[in-house]
Amino acid sequence: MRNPKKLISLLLTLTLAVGMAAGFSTAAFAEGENGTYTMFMRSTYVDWIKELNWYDVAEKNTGIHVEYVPGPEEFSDCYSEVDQRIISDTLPDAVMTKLTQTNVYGPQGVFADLAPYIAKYAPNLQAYIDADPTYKALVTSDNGAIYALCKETPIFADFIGYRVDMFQKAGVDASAIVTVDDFTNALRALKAYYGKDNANYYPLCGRDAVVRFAAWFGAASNISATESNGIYVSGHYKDGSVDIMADGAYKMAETMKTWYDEGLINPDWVAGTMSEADWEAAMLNGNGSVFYDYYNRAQWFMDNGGPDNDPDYQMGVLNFLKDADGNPLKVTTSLKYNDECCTAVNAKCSEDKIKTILTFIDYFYSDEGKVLANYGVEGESFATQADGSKKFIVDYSKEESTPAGEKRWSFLSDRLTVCKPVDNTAFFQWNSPLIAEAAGRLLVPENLMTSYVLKFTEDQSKELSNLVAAVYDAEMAGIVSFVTGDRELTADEWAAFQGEMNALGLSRIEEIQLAAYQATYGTK
Amino acid sequence: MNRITESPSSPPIKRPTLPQRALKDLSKNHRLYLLMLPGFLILILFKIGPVGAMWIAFQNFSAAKGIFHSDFAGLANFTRIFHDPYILVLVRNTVILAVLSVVVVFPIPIIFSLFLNEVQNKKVRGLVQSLSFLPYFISAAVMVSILATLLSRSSGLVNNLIVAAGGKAVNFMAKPEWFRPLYVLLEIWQTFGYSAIIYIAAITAIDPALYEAAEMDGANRWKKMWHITLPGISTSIIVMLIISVGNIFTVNLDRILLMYNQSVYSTADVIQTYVYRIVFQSTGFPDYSYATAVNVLKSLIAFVLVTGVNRIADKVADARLF
Repeated sequence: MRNPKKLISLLLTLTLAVGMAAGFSTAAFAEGENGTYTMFMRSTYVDWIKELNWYDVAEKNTGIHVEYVPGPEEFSDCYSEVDQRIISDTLPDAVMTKLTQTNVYGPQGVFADLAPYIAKYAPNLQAYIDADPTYKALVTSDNGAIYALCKETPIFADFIGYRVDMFQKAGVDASAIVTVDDFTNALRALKAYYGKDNANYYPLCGRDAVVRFAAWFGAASNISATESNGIYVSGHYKDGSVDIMADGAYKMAETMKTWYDEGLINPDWVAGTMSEADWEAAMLNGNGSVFYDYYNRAQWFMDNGGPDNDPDYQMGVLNFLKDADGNPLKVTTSLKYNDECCTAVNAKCSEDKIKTILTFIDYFYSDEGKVLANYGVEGESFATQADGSKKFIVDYSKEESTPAGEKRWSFLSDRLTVCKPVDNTAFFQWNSPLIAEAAGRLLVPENLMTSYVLKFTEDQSKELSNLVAAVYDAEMAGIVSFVTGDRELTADEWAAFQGEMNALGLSRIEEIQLAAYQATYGTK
Repeated sequence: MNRITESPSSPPIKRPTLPQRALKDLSKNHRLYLLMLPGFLILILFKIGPVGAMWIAFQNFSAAKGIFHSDFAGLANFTRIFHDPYILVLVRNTVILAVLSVVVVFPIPIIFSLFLNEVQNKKVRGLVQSLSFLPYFISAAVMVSILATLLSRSSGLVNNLIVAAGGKAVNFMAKPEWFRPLYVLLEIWQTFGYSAIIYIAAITAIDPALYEAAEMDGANRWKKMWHITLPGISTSIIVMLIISVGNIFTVNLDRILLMYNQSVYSTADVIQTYVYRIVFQSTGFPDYSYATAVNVLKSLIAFVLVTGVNRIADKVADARLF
């Protein structure tokens, strides 16, 4: 071309046009050959699946390969992407979704009714469903269809992790901490010892929502056939669970205020400005000594710089607390069935494709599959003892510290791989001695509340979603304002706060939850 | 001066029709049109097209049924807004934040450009302008991180100075009363250099003869600024004001979400964060229709405000945007 400007403008135009065309192109999820299917899943889970030795064995044993379509990292973004994929007709063969989505989109023809196919192609899964009425009630729609399978999860609770070495140096006897008052006194002793030379020392610290102690005061959200108290929906069964109408909730606010006023709890955590990294730094560099967080976090600090920072560094796990009469204060737990990690199948899949998907899932409900997913391969990752029990022969710490992206043996069933039964014994055995001991000591029925997944209708789900969006943050902010002293903590003010929350919709939330419970589990 | 006139005997010149003129123009400027095409398509698809999707505010929208087959709900979603006990709090927080943004943020670039215009050294002027412009390209996440680091209760520069002066450290990021000033501060920091460009461009278009005449009349720099420069850019100021009022409900969601925590909830929770929670952080099934209805109502109020300000500007200052 004679004029270079013309050439440049033409090239620029073409580039823009091609760029746009690329943006508009839709991902094609072809039927593919037999023995494969595509699945949309949270990217972090996809990365973890790719590291699992036992997963490769499962694909080999079944002859089925899953082509994962990685989604966003955040759960809520994943569900939004499912919506977008439904709108743009780019849904892969299977998707990670949540029960509220499948309950709505299933009857509208987006997801396949798996019930007849399970009966036909997945005998082990069918047996599992038949054997557990709770699970059956959860995954079965009013019309008898099954639009999604929920992931089974190990039952665990948050642990109170603490710095054993710091407790010892401060002369605090961890075994003597039985009640909340003992706990507060231990914090006082720690503050007196370490706080005198360190203005940034606050014994109790943590991440995310600070309102996580309700169960210690008998004020956790709860539900039964006759009553619903507090917000009891996804994400609030365990963390952020609080029934502000319970007497104990006031006591909780009072105690937390004492911690705050005396500098026993990190004020940045209370304020909501303490990031996860800030908390980790505080626990690693000695600016904090105690936390109440995910069950295996104590070990995390041991594996991620604790002993490097301080040769004496040693984490431990406290006993759960008891009331003044010595009765266990039951703590909130994870759900046995995770309604936010479900697998649904695209209704456009052929019967062959559905058969492939269910055959793969069904494998994990077979005896062979259960052993593989929970213990691995005999002789390679576990050995059978003389009494018939199984014992891991690979080292937990070594395997779990393998660099990201490399293959390893790992059996952390709290994350989603495929929907499969969980062996709680294996799950807690696959932990460091520190956590395995704590799990054996603490995760016993008398210490744990039972959690229930509720199944909502479309209208209930929408109303609830809007109400929770208004009430939950207001509730958390309200409690924090009492703790920090921004709002005076008196019986009258607390009653006013309860009234404000009911006016915003808390009582309506409880009504909807109760109706959902009764519809799912009956009225008795 | 020669005038070209038609001879009474010559046939009348036939004016080309609109399609003919369009075809001729297209043929003459086809490369320009081709260049414009991608941008035009983007405008249609991503700016104008989505306006039609606001229809879902009148539906009980389902992604599975799509916009054409979802159930019609009439004004039900709008009625719900007025029954939502929380909406007044959200509107109050949004309006306060938006009004602060207009009242405090709007004059800063005007003042800045007026003073920058008085800097005689061109290199210094260029450097100051470039430096003021740079924060515009920094992401909200980085801006908030810088602010949080500066204001950190335990190690931030500001609190170190407060403590050194004998005061008590303040967790600024957790104080509801500090949320709005900090939000506005970031808004100024990030946008004033960029906004000033428009005023600086308007100033350069002012006839230098006016300044020379004023100098001959003995006007000092303040008087020239007040009586020549400021009136010279008044049209630009009014146009920018009308645009700002149009954006009065459009707070910076990224920035708010990054600054948001349970302690500042009482002042930081605005319409957008509420809608975000309903749709993108839904604990159940997201109510797209209701969230859209809230946004439609917000847009309608903004439209009324823009129209009002435009009329006032027309009457008072004889300048209008449309």
